[in-house]
Amino acid sequence: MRFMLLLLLVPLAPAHQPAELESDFDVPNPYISYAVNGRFSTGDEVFTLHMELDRGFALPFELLIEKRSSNEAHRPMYAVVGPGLPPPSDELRALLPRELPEGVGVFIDKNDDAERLVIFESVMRRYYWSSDTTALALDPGAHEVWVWSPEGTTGDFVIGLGVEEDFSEGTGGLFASWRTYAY
Amino acid sequence: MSILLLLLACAEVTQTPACERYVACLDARDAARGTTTDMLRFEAEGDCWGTPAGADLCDRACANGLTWLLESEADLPEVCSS
Repeated sequence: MRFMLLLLLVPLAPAHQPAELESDFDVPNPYISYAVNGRFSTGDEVFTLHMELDRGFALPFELLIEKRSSNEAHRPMYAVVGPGLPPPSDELRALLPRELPEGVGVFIDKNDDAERLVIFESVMRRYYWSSDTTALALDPGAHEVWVWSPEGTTGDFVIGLGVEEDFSEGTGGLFASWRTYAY
Repeated sequence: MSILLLLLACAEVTQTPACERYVACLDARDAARGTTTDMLRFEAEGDCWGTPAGADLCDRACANGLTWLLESEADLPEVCSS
């Protein structure tokens, strides 16, 4: 019973369409949800998701790190880059892993909250630290999501987009890589 | 206690106050900017309110999204800060 009560206190994450991120990933349909898995092997990689919006769209983003002691110092950041987002302050611009293109703005999640939100993810059935979810009202056009490891730490991450569960386009081969990301 | 847990699991999920405020803000912002933003998932009949897990995710997304809008845009409509 204690375990069941504990489960009730831990936020649950709904399932997303899973995918794997090598270095770049084109989001095929930004109007459904994705959980894109990646791994920092050297710590100096910058992972990039590309997505094209044909209309203004309010889209939630979240960065997840599996909750285990070896990941305690592993706190990647992410940025959403695109038209209509505000220009960064000099302080925020200095955090970015690459030059911001002309004519676009940025949202940066520093993922540095002292108290880290813990969620239970129902597909991989693992506990994760979450950067917490933020919905961004994006304008139409080309957007990118950059994920990088500011302290050069290595390890896995999941970047989540959207809310709705939808596996109609397959599982992105994730379950073939279950051992890579779940253990 | 088992019945209570079952009832909690089956409880109807409805739009949260945070998402109600977020949708109202984006509606007013769109009107002021002359833009249209698809925010259907967060509206009262949206996909956010299908499961408790989805609703929790949306609630946090709306609350954090509104906070970020207020921090990053100076000329938001009044409804956004009310």
